[in-house]
Amino acid sequence: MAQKKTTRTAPPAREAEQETKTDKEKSSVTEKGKELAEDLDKLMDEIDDVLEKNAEEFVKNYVQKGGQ
Amino acid sequence: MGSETEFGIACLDPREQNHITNSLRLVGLCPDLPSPDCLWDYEGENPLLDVFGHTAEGEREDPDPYANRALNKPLVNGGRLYVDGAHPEYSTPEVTDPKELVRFETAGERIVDACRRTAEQGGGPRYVLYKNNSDGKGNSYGYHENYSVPRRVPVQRLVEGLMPFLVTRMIFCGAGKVGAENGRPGAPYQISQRADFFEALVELNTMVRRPLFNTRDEPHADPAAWMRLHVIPADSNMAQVSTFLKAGTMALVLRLIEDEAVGEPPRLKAPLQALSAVSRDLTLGPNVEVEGGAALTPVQVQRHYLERVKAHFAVQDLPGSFPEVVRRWEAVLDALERDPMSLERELDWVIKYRMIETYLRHKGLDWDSPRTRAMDLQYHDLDPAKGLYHTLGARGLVEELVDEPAVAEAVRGAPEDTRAWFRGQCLARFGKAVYGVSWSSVLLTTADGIRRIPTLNPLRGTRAITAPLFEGCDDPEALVARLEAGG
Repeated sequence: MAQKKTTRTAPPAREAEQETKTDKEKSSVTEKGKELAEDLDKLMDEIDDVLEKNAEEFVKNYVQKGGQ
Repeated sequence: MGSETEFGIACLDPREQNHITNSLRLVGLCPDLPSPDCLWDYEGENPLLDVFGHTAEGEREDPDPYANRALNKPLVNGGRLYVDGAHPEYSTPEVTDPKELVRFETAGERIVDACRRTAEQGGGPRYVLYKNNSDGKGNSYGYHENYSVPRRVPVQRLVEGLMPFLVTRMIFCGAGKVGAENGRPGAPYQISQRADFFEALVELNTMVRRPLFNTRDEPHADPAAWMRLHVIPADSNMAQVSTFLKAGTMALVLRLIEDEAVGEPPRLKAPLQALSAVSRDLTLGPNVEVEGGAALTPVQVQRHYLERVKAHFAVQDLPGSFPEVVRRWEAVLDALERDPMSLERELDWVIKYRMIETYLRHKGLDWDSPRTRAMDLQYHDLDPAKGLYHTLGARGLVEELVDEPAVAEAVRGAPEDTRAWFRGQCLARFGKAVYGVSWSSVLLTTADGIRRIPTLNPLRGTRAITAPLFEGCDDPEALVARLEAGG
């Protein structure tokens, strides 16, 4: 994507800067998203440790009456 | 503005399953109360009055002093911890800024969690507290927002101006829910916890036939000058960005309506059906049927309000964190339109969805797995060691707007720019000599008996106005004498 933009015929300098920046921002957002996904992935085995013992049974018994 | 949060409560001891008893025990363990026997002053409260001037049937609340003390724990931050029905509940003190609301609401989560810890450390039963709105079995408990609105604003204008906004704002402040309940059409996952529970458009009730627009008129202030808009359809949020946008955008839209600058919001054909449809469509498609045109997406409806706000206010000159509200509102709507899942650090319903989805993929399970409901519930657990929101937060996977030292400060001290400051100062300085408080009064025990100081204007009683009054005042008698001398 960045490659393609630099080979465009003589765009005004400011516009070129702008677009490169936007591309960078986009790729940094994608990078961030990827990192987040990896961090979330790493967490999954820990979730079993954190969940209440007999989580399903616990949820079944959780009843709350008298709320607004 | 201020918020009220009803917390879900469970007790791990099978012999202790009465939620009223458990809630009373829990709030009774609140640490660091400056005046543990302080009463809540019910004089002047009447939740049965509505904005149209009607009075509903029912009994006004006025517990005897013993019950009053058991139910109410006025807090040094100007807020109130209490038992409402069968739930522990926390009201923030009055604030003027949405980021302050986030800070004081989070302080409430820490206060309730401190009660739980005190129970556990004292060898009492283990409680689990949830900041959510449903038990997943058709029982809901609330999160109510309160906004002071000038009395001169016609109620019908508020109803018409707000309805499309209320129906669609869940796209940034829905807390997410596995499944459907209350006899509503099934769904593997919904954006809103509360959408399944709304059955009317405009009503005084909050417990049965819940309305989108609640008409309770209990201003806790001079009724000729103020009404208090009691907003009941929102979810409780763990994610601070969701709470920030919920309160910030609502305050701005109310200002638009007040200034007659809201333009012509789309007229919804069927608000309750739209609420249900928006909650069930995670792609945010065109589910909002409107008069005289094609169905709109919830983002399009929100954009009507955003554009009016940008046209009406000089955004940069708005006070406090309001310029940030507008910037974030716009950025979030843009992101929701592009890819809702990109908000996996900001918005509750997306954070929770991504967490469950990733888990299911890892374990080779699908959305029918009972594990999904367990994760949904535990996302809202206030215990930092057990709550899944906190588990994500500890690893930097959610965006937080206020840091822990600022939250700790909001546990210990009141906001400075409302009457909450006066209330908090009285409690901090005079401790047990504070006989009672309410939103609109402070009662002090003096040598001449109990003296009631009205605090009817939410914007007086600030630090700037009342700090000089407290200077050198060592006892309530001195404060009362100064007030009588015209302070």
